[in-house]
Amino acid sequence: MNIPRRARRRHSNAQAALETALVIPILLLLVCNFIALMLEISVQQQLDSAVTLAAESRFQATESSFDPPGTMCCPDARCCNGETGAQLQTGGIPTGCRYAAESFYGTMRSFGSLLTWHLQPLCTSGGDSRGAPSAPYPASPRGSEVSCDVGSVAPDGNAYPGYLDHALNPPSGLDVVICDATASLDFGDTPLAWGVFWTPTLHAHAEVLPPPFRQ
Amino acid sequence: MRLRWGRRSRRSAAQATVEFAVVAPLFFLCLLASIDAGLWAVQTSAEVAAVEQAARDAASAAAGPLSETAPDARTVVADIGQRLRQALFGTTVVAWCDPTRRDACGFVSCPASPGAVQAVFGPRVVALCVEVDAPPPCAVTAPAAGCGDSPMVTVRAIGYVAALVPPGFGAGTEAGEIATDIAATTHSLRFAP
Repeated sequence: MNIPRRARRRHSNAQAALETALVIPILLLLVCNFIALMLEISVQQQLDSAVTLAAESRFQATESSFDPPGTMCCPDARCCNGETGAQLQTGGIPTGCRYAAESFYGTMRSFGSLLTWHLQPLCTSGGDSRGAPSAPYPASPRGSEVSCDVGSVAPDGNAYPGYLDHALNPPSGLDVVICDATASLDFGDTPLAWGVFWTPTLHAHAEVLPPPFRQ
Repeated sequence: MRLRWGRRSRRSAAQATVEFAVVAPLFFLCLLASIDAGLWAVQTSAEVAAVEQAARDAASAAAGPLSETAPDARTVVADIGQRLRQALFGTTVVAWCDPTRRDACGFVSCPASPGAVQAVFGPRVVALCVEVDAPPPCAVTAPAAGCGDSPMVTVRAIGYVAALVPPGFGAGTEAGEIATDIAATTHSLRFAP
């Protein structure tokens, strides 16, 4: 069939407009998702760093050191997450747990507006690498962004076991400190929400051995 | 009316030029944004790793039996500055110290915002600073809360890193930079006197 020239020209223009209309959103979608992926990698690394420093900080307090009643984590605004205003009551739990929380909140300052935290008990004891569950200390705050499993000896002489890793020093295992934090990365309040339809859940886990002089 | 071949070819070329003029800026914007996002992730990653190491080093240095003082910003820059400079392309890494003073650091606390660093050192500068949050001394009669705590050391990398941001698109006050503020906090061990 012979298409008239004017109609062919209009057809060609329409085809170009259609191509542009298809390609531009796909291009923007790719760029948005690439930026979101880079953001996710950066947040994950910061989370890993914060959890590692938190676990290491536990050893700066003695095993038998407990916070007196009324003690609060982050009394200094510099070590709290300013955006959530986290203030955790740590009276009656090992001082090492508070140190861990202070290190975590002090390090995890950036990206706060993008993260929705999965809150958990700050301080737990027990648990092992074979799947035995850990239990929170009776006085532990429940709504913390980081959770650490630590062993301690309370002032009344009651000993709380730490996390037993059987992969280290088998078969009896080795008492270690573990810390965990979980958060969802939400792009809803950013311009990236236009093209990013996934909400990744980020998790960081750190396991730290006691320094040799404490073993 | 029938168009001649030359006219039609000119019209087609003009159409292609217009299409290119519309699509090319958008394409280059997307390309720059992708490259910049990658660069930013590399730079942020290097900063996170560096301040984490610096906080650990500063806490260790502050925990010696003969010294309870954490190193100042210049010592931290000497410690991790080299590895930061390798990752922060086009960005100057400095210690957050008063540039007019030679004897001591001068600045006690970290800058409040990346803008404060830019006001002192200019654009595309990242400053490293150290803050030590020492606990109050323990009185014999009525000890203050937290008086027996170990000091808390915070190292921050704050300022603006160089980026491929065109004028008017950046988070910084000038083009070609993106704000950064990465911190690492840890407790240091304090030996009993």
